[in-house]
Amino acid sequence: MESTEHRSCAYGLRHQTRCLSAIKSNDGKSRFIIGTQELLKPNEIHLLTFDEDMFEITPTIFSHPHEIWDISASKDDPDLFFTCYRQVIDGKRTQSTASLWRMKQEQKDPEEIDVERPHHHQHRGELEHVLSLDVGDGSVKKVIWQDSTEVISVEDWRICIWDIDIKQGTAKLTGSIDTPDKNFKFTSAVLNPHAQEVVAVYGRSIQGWNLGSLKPTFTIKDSQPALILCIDYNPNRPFQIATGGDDCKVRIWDVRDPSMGPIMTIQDHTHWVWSVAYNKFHDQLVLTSSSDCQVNLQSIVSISTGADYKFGDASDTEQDASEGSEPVETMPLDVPTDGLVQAFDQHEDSVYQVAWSSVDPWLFLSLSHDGRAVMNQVPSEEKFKIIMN
Amino acid sequence: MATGDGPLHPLDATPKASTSARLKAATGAGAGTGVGAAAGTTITTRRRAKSFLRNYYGLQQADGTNQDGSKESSSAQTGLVSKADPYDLDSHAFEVDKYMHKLFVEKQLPGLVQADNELVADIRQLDGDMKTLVYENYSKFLSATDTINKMKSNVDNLESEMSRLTENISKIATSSSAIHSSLGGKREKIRQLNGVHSLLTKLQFVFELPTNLNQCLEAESYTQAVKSYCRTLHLLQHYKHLTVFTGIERECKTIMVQIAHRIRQKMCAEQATMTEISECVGLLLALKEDPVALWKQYLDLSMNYLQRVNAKTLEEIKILPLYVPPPVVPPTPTQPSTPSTPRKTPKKSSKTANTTATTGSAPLKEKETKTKNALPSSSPPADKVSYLNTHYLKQIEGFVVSFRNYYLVPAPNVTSGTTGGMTASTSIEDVALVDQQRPPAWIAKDSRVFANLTKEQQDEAASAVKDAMSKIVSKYLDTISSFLDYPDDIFSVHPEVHVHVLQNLYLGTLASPGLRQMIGFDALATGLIQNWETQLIHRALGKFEKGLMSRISKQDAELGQNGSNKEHEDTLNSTLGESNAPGASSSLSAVLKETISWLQDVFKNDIIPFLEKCMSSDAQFLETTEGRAQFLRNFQDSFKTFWEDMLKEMQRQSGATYLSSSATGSATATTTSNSRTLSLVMSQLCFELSNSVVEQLYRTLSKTLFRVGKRNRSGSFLIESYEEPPVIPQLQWDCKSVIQLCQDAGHVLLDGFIARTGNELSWLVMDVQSVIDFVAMASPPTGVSGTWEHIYKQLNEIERQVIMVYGDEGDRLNNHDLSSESMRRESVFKPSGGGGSSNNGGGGSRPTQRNDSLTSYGSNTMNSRFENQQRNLLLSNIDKLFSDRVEIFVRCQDLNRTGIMFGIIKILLKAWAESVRTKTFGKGSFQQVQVDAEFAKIWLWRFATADERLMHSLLEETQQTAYRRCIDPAPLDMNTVEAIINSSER
Repeated sequence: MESTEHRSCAYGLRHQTRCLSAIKSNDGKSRFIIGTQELLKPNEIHLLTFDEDMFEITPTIFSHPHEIWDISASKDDPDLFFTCYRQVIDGKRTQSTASLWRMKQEQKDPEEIDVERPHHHQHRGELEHVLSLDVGDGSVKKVIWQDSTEVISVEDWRICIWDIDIKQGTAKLTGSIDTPDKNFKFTSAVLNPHAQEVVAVYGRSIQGWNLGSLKPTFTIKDSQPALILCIDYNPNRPFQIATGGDDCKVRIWDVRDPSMGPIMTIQDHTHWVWSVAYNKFHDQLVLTSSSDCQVNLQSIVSISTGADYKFGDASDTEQDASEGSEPVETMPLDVPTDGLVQAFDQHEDSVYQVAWSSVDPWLFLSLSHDGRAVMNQVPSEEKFKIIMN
Repeated sequence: MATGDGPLHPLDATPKASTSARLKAATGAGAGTGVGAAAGTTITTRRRAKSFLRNYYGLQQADGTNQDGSKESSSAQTGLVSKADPYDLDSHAFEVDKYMHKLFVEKQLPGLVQADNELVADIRQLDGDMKTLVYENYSKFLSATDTINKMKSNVDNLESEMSRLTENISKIATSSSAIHSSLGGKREKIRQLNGVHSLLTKLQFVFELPTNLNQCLEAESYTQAVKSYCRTLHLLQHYKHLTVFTGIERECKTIMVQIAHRIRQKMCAEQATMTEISECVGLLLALKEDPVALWKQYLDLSMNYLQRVNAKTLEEIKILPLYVPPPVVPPTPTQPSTPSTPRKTPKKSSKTANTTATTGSAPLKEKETKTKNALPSSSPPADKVSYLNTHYLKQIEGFVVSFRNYYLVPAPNVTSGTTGGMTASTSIEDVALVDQQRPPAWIAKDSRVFANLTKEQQDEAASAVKDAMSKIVSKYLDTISSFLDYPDDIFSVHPEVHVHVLQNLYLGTLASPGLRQMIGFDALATGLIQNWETQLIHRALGKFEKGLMSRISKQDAELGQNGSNKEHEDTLNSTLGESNAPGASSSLSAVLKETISWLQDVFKNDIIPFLEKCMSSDAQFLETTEGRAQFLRNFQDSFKTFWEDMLKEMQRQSGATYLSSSATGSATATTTSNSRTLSLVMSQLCFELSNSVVEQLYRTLSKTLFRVGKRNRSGSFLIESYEEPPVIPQLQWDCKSVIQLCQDAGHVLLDGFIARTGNELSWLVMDVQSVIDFVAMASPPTGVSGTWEHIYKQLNEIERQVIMVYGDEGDRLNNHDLSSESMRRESVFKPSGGGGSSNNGGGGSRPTQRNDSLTSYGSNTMNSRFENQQRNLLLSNIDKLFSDRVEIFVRCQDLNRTGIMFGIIKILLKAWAESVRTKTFGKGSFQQVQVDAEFAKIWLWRFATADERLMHSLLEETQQTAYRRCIDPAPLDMNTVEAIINSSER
């Protein structure tokens, strides 16, 4: 905890970690799951429950076979999640698998938990294997939930669409998309929340496919010099995506007219950007994490949905956000402006993933490779600015 | 007796005095012979009266008294002794006895006789004098008496005359009043008769009007006809009810209709000139034709006419030169027009003559006459623009002015009642405007004619004519601007030609007040002029920019050429390391210097003189201070944009090559190095610019174009380049911001270069590792991986390029680098007791100081080093906690080899560390990483002098990560690693 104003809550996993996912919550508490990445040691899944009143994290630990490269919680069931994990077969080759798990927590009396609450007491639970996706070449790196019956898996050279039946524990491949460029693997993908569309990145290109017809919807090819590492889709505004790459820059695109280049370019990191995440409630807030050990909270209010009714004609907000100066004190009025809201530097290693809480619009968790997870909040000034406007 | 008591001395005393004295003496003698006492009293009273008078007249009393007293005493009291000579006859103190006694004593008889005779003669004379005196006075008295008598009789006469006069005058008065009363009645009659007479005259005019009009019709003097008609019009209307007049009116009307028809015909005729058209319109207006239809027709006709004239003029000016240099023009013969020589355009010239005669503007007239003179002789004709101005623009102007006068602004000399239906309302402003405009005489002649339009109609007419004029004028301006050509080689433009053209345009503007007022002609012309300036400046600077960019790319190509050759040599010689030949680097820096000096030269020798020439020509539009300031401001802005554009262009080019090179993915070394160096060279150029060149250029500017004192020292700026004046304040801000811009651009370019180079190398590392199946790689590795060898070569090449562009810190340091490099190699291998160092001679001594991270591991065996992983991890984490945050992609602050190379190395190593994390290693591949890292420690050290520690920690971290990511970690010991490295080094 850094200060009372910007309180943060850290949690150490004592394992190397790469992935986390926010869990849908039924009781209003923010929960995240983290998968560890240890090649030679036993791996774990940590379910972190954040108690806002006490401002502390309660973990629940599950054992997981093999090192976890990606984790993805169901949007509907708080107990379900996919992991992508890699194992070495016969000491010769590696194989990646994607499996769906169900968390079985040891049921305890609620009051017992509340009353005792030992500090950093670790609850333990068990995972129940629900199903595995029958991926071909074993290079699955990411699973995305479409809904409770449909998921999409991302492999090196293809993207597969699956129909899953959780009760039966079966998965059926319904379609696949091959990488359009044989030189570059798929690095990541995201679903369009506004349409039946998956947007994937490979090499320096971004491409979208219609999930029904499996036909490309748009392509942004080689229009930027960086290899793209991550992507996110604006949850409130169709056609707007954000990408981060190995040139330290975050680019915001309008996929309808990509020929003019990105509509905004943000450079506040000094190394590769590994993760970018829109706030689901206020899409003017974008989190980015990077291997320069920093997590940046950016405001892109001028091109957010907020701009539609507030900044319809204000041209002065079109200032270059990539300059990265702290605009908080320069603005006399409490109007949100573009630019870096805050840089969080509590990590000592590369931050590979960051995620917003699914219940609290102002809360997010970032995870660095050294196993440190830090819960942070949007600074209250920025919060008030957004609320007041 | 006279002898006895008249002793007079005639010799002295003035005639008057003597006369009076004699008179006195005579009276005295005459009165006082017998009665001395009585005479004495009368004398005293008389004397008192005299003294009174004397007092009155302010004479000298004392003398007088003295004289009188003495005289008195001499005459009355003889006993008194006075100072006066008693023997002097004329003296007051004359004593007869003494005198006599003296005579008796002194003279003999003849003497006495003589004296007596003399005395007698004197007495006689005196007597005569006295008599004359008396007579004279007496005659005066007599005449006075006569006069008085005459007056008396005259007064009597006067009275009678007066009475007569009175009588006569009263007589006259009575008779005059009689006449007056008798003539009174007739006067009225005369007056009536006079009235009748004038009426009859008028009537006669009216009756004769049809005839007159007919005559006018025949004589085609429509103006006269219209004037007469207008004069009688009201009369005819007044007496409409009389049949006679109605008849006349009807007759007149028919004639007038005819006349109007004729006028219309004339107006619409093909060959009608502008003047005629305007005149006709004036006449028709006076005839109360429908003004709305009329102005429309007028506008149409004029437009047609103007178009014709335009076409014709354009045709005619085709053969004319654009600019006639003044010395070439010989003084044209001054005969007004030579009828013998065939006129090229008879109608034109006649019209020109016509306009010349009527126009009021002096300079134009002058020019026109010149044109007229020049035209027939056709030897050196006028240039295009002035011809165009004379023949076309003036027509437009004429039309505009007359249109204005007819329809829009009532002419100033309109007086109510001159012609029916004329407005007299003329605002003061309008008067002033019209006065100021001085319309040509033929318009002024008709200026009484003004159409009585409603406000709306007026507005409509105004807007219509404005539209039409705008069109025409824009066409005209297009024509003018078509004369201004901007060839690619802007410096081949003859500025005097352009200036001349614009000068004529400017003059034309000045001579067209109507157009100015109507559609802001001057603003349009100024716009054109400014556009010209902008074009000129832009072209000049654009050429400059193009030249610069082409130079840069040429240079870059050379550099690439060099580079590939060099690389070729390298591969031939198979020598790793060693910086390039000094010749190449010096040549490159020389080339860079040359570029900069070229830049300055072009600027000084081409651009500034060119623009100065443009400015300094005797153009009136630049002569005004605003014009000049405008030009300078224009230039200043353009100059700044020039820099901005240039820098942008540089960044764009660098970005473009980046993209193209990155699109091809793993392109060959030569092409990538080629495009890479471009941004390197450009960045260095930017820094050079920001360091000195920009300021110098601005100084040159301050000295030349922006010099404060007009152009008194024109052309001398190149000579006195020793003492550089400071940048003038006006430019200082620009100068500073441009310097800043250059600095920023240089950084962007350099950082772009570093990032690109680093990324390219990173991709090499990542790409290679992704294609090999690391899990199943053979152990132990046979040598340093090909990728790293390749990277090392690339780094050498890049370093060479960097040194070529940015220079090295010096040879001494370079040598030091080499020797310390060999030391380094030993130091790495020494702890494991490894054999002798490889090539490169230089048996180094023990290193004096060693890296911390090395000491921690150096003495340990490799195994223990990795097995202690947990501890090491903790250590490294603590290390990280206390060390500064490592920023990989940052602005390069050290603009030299060290800084740039370290920037690249950082990116490369960090990328390696990151990519290792995503892999899973087998035994062999982990050992490969180990070998590669050790190799990098030795060979990359040279590039990472800026922060050796960081390099080591990154490499160490990479090894640790690889160890952790290895399914079967079996680290090699140092001896093996060294042996492998040595073997691969050959």
